[in-house]
Amino acid sequence: MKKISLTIAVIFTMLTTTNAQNSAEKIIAGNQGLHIGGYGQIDFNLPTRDGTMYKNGTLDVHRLITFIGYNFNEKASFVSEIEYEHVTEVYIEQAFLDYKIKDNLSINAGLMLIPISIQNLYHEPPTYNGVERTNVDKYIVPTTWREMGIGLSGRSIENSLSYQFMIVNGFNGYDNGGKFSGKSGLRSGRQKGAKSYITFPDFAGRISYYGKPGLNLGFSAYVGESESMAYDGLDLANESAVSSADSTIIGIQMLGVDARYQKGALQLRGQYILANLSNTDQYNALSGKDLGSKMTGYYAELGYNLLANFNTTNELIGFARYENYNTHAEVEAGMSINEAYNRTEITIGLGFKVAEGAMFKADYQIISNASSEDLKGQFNFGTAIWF
Amino acid sequence: MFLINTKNTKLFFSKTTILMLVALLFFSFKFSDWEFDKKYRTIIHKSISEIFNSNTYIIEELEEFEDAFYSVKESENIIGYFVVTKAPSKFHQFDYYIIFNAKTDILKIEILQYRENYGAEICSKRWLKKFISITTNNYSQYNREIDGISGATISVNSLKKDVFKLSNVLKKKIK
Repeated sequence: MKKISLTIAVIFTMLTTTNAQNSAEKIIAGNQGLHIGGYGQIDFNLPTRDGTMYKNGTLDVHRLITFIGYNFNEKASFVSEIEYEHVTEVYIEQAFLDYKIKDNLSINAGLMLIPISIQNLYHEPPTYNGVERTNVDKYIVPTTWREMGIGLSGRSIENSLSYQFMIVNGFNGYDNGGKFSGKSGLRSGRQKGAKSYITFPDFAGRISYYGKPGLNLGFSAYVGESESMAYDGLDLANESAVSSADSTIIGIQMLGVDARYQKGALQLRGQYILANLSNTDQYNALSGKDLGSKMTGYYAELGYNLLANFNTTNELIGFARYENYNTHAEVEAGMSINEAYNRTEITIGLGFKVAEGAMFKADYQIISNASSEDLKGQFNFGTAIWF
Repeated sequence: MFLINTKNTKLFFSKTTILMLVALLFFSFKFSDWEFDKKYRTIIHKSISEIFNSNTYIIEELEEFEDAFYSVKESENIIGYFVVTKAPSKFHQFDYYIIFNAKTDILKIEILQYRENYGAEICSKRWLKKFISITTNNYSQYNREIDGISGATISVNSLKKDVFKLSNVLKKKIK
């Protein structure tokens, strides 16, 4: 009787109240139900003149994501994100089943975000400064990095810790040719859950600590080997074929440390990612690529809400960020470091938050690399939406 | 009526399903079910006895509220109030309670159960202390006094709004 009256009551509640805050949640009954949300990043990028050379600007609905979640009951829920990138590319960013084994411990299975880096995990545009995500995240992490697997996520509230551990498929390193490169690192090897294949499972884990109010620290690790189609149908008795296939995989050990601090009007953010790649000499020899054996990326950012002392919930955040990412921090013997891959960007800009989840953004980037004294510039303008 | 005696305290349970349905027809879902959860009862009563330094208090449900508000009485005098409720996180809900003094100042907020994978930082007792004795007259000012938590934006905003609303609901009815 109680359950029926509760259901009727909640339906009335849904019809008569605006209790759901900024999100498009449609709660059907108590904790159960369908939830729809979304986020979007719309950009206008305008490179400055390159000496006497003019460059066109570009305008792009960079990404538009629909979040669809469904609570089956108190314990089981499904989380998914469908993404349109650059209007025509459709991808799934997340699609996993979450089951609460007990309070504060869940098992997750499906397509999941690899738990490394702030922007890989928290990638809704109003949650970061700057029109674009950082290039440290794009090239070193490489965001949005999501693969298929199974894992545990949980927390210890008394110790202010959250954790995630998962076994996942790895990057597609070789499929009729090498997928990795010196310039883009592992980025082109992301399988994204689209008919992913697996040769060896990889492991990813993260621990977040938030014991000190305002400070959020994250420690992440990823260990494994890249996948290779060269193993498919491989005759294990053929030593030369096996040796050749072995050359198409690389070992990957990635470590990430990130920190976010927020107090009053002040926001600080920093991240350091280190990737050690092994067997890159054999990989490069076979594939003709120029993959480095070590990649590093880091950034430090400071932001300040200029409207903090005004009587408004709007925010005008001025920020500055320094980032460096180097896909050739080290290379194996026999190859020379390409200094152009040691890239630095300084970004300064503003974000004007007009509502929870709605921002206008503008920034200017000074882009350089170690191979040249030349500086390039780029203006970026955009809107950031999350509901 | 169903009474439980715990030492010298008495619990008055919510009345009938019809009464709950009528209450629910108005605004939010009245979370009276907390009284059936032993863990929640233990946590809340322990907090009340510590804060008010009393083992002889009585709680009385305030029927006129849409949310599960109760008064805390000592020898017929109201010494405080509390409310047990739910608020939305990204797509689950979290259960929490607020204890007020007789003047409706917030004395304590504690999260009873947090279900979402992200945003558990709002359970941090040190962060929740920011709400103690906070002014809830003007939302902009109130909002500025509570630091955001990166990575827990939805839950932080949800709790902020809910606490502000409930504090003002109580202030309005009591005055």
